[in-house]
Amino acid sequence: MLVVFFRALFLYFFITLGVRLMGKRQLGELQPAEFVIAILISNIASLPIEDTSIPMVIGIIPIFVLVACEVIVSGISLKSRRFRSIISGRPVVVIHDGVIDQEKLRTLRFSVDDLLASLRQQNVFDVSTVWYAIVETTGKVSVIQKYGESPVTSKELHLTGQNETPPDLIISDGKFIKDNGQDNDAIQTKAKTALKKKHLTVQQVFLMTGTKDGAFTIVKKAQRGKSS
Amino acid sequence: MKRVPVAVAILLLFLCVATLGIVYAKSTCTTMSEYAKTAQQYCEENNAADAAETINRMSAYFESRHPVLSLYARHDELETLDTNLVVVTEQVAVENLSLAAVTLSEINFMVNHIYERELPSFHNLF
Repeated sequence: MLVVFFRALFLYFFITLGVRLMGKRQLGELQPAEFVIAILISNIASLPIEDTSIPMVIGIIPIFVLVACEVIVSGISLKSRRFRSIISGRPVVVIHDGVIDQEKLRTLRFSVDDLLASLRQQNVFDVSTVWYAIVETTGKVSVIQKYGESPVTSKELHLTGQNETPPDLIISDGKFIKDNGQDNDAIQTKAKTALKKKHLTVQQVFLMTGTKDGAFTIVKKAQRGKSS
Repeated sequence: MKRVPVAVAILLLFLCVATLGIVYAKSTCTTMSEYAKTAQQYCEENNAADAAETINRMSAYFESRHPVLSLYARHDELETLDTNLVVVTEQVAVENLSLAAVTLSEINFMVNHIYERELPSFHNLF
């Protein structure tokens, strides 16, 4: 039993390392090759755990070979558009000016139900309001609605304003975050001043975010048994 | 893009390690086969003493190679070899040399099988 326990721990460590080596691409939307790799890795990892007569390297080597191949293929895909289209395919326009391209849908083996479901997920309930709908290589559908059907922007209303940087994470679970890319000492000083005004200590704060202008959002730690 | 050289390095590393594994298995197989054939010959000549000595040396040699082999060879196959070595030692001890010859032939087959399993061939790949 201990053998199985330690094998599971080692493989967990190696799989995590492998997934980290593949990078954020793997954790986001999956391309077909990445999807295959994910399934293969999970199946291969289970073999040495289930059968202790199989050496660990029989699990570790294929996982890292697959990870390495994936990294190399994605590196080549980055440099070569042609290679990228062979491995991942190309985005396909399935709706243009409210008209569904049925031939393209047939080629993609994308049913009308799949298409309508994807449109509804983007709050589009009428096909005739769609200017372009594109099936991406991940299978997701991207939609641009016709002018007049899409939500109005502040630019169209001739409103003026400023681009705002997103707030930085300052405190998480009672501790200052040191790697938020800003001047940590200045941020911490301002944050402590803001907390003092609210009679709070750093340890009492669950979440604190702040902008450069000094606008802070503070969430106190909940008492045990309460959500906030 | 640093990940790509690391990935290539990993592939090359595993290729080298796998090649070394095959070389190690080959040398083990060759030596064990020689021991097994020599011991078999002694058994056929009814020379129990020399057969026992050869088998003891073979067992000691396999014991020394076992830790590295167990990293990449199937453990149940290595255990079968271990068992056969114990059996053949006992068979020679009780001077059942004809049966010992058969077991030595099994040992020779198993050792070659372990090596051939590691070698990439049409049979192994497909």
